[in-house]
Amino acid sequence: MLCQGVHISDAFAEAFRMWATRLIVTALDDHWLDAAISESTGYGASVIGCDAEAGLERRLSPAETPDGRPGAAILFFAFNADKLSKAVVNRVGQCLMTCPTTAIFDGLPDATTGEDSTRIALGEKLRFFGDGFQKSKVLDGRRYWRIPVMDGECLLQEDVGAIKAIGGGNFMLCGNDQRRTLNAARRAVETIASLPDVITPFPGGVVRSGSKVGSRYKGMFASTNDAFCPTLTSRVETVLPPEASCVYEIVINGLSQQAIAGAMVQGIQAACAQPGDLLEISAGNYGGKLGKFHFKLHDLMREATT
Amino acid sequence: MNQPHSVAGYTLTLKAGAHWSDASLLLPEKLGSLTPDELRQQLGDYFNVEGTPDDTLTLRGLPALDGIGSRMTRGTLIVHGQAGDDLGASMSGGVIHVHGRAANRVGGPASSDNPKRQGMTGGTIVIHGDAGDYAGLRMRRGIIAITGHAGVSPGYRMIAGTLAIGSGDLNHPGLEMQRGTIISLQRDAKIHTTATFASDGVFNAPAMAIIGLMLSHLQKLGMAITSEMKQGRWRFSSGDRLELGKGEIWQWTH
Repeated sequence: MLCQGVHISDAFAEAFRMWATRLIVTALDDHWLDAAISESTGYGASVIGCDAEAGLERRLSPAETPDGRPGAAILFFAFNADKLSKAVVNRVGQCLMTCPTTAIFDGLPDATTGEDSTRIALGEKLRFFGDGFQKSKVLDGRRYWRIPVMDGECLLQEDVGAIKAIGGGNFMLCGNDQRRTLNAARRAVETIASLPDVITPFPGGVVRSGSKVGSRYKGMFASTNDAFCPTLTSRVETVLPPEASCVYEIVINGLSQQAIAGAMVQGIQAACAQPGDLLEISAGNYGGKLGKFHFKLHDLMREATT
Repeated sequence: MNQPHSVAGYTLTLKAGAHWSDASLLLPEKLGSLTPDELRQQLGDYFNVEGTPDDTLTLRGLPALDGIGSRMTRGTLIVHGQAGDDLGASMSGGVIHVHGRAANRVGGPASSDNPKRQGMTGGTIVIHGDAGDYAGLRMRRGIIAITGHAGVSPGYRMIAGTLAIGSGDLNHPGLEMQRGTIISLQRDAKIHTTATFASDGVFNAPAMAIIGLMLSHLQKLGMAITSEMKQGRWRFSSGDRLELGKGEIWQWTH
């Protein structure tokens, strides 16, 4: 199969069940909003080593935010609701409450406690920083905590919604020129950035150190994805085309299968838009044994064209 | 004035020459599930009945009855005309809109079967007009929004909740209040408080997210909120220090 002249491998992306929450963060202006976004989503690439995978979903205009200030929707993902709760409370407490002028609101207000969704106590826990001077206000049935801080108050919603989500949707960009392959990767990431319900949590949305499960070393849960490493083509069972000299992976986490599938298709189409930048597009999987969500590239691209 | 509520549900219009004095039956939770025939059977001698079953009830043509919306728990009650004393007394949920004046003790305690003398414990009251004395008396939770003036001692013995007043000076607001928020939306209105309230300073609205959040909410309720308010400066005062001292008065200022 070809997409704008680029070969699409008959591969599938293997993705996993995760839990996710969306925070709406507001600030006085874009400068402090940028600070809040970068701090709260930092060290949020992979749960292999981070407490959560995190990224900016989209910017919000003042008209879209609860307090009428500039805002952002930020998504956080973790393996289960408990780990997500710990990560979010820590990140809000250390990265957002500390950031000048911020306020934090629930971005999944319809999520209730049940099998597929839950509520994460946020202000309910962090309010104790107020040392008895905190106040709460209930509006529209939702409680907000006002914690006195040195620039006034930090406003936090009492709890935020969390839902079952998916992490690890992906595709691999194989090229023979690093700059051109990176250009394709950036086009893909920029396109995905405009879509709702998804993030690309790695640096600049791109992974160069793709991983496989396990290692020859004890205690290592993940190690380099040797089948995609161009310097190892003569030593391992490579999946790369012979001319490939670099591979970049775009990892996509999303709130639904449809969101990830749509992001993969649009990301692939954007990556392939410039003739000659790429040799092939493939996807990463673990033989289908670990993740329950399989995104087959041929099926996705075929459905997109029909 | 905006009317953000829908006009679904039943509308009861008092018939010419009819007399009705019992507000306790006129609640959406009591009448909203009846069929039109059942409703006409009960009230047709007094009211023209229009509409279909819903959790919204609209009242027209009534005199200023005392106790409208008292002990209301859910639904929406819309009153076109004046309300008497004790509007929404001890209500715990739902929304009341009065398009006209309301008299004393809006959201205060119901006078009977109320040993703790507890005011409203939830819900929202919006008065598209003026209110009498002691609005928010002993209220514990919920919101009262008055687009016009309030009489003396709004928020008297308030336990918590929010009381917003659209215009006019405030005559001894929040006396003996414990917690809660009283908001004056008229710029630089005179606020006559006792020495048991103290200023906590003046803050720019964009720097205090709670101001923007609250103003947006009041705007949705039908209060006239301007961009000058959202970008303006607000004086925060706290009291009453004869009580917990955790109450506050927000005043839009220069």
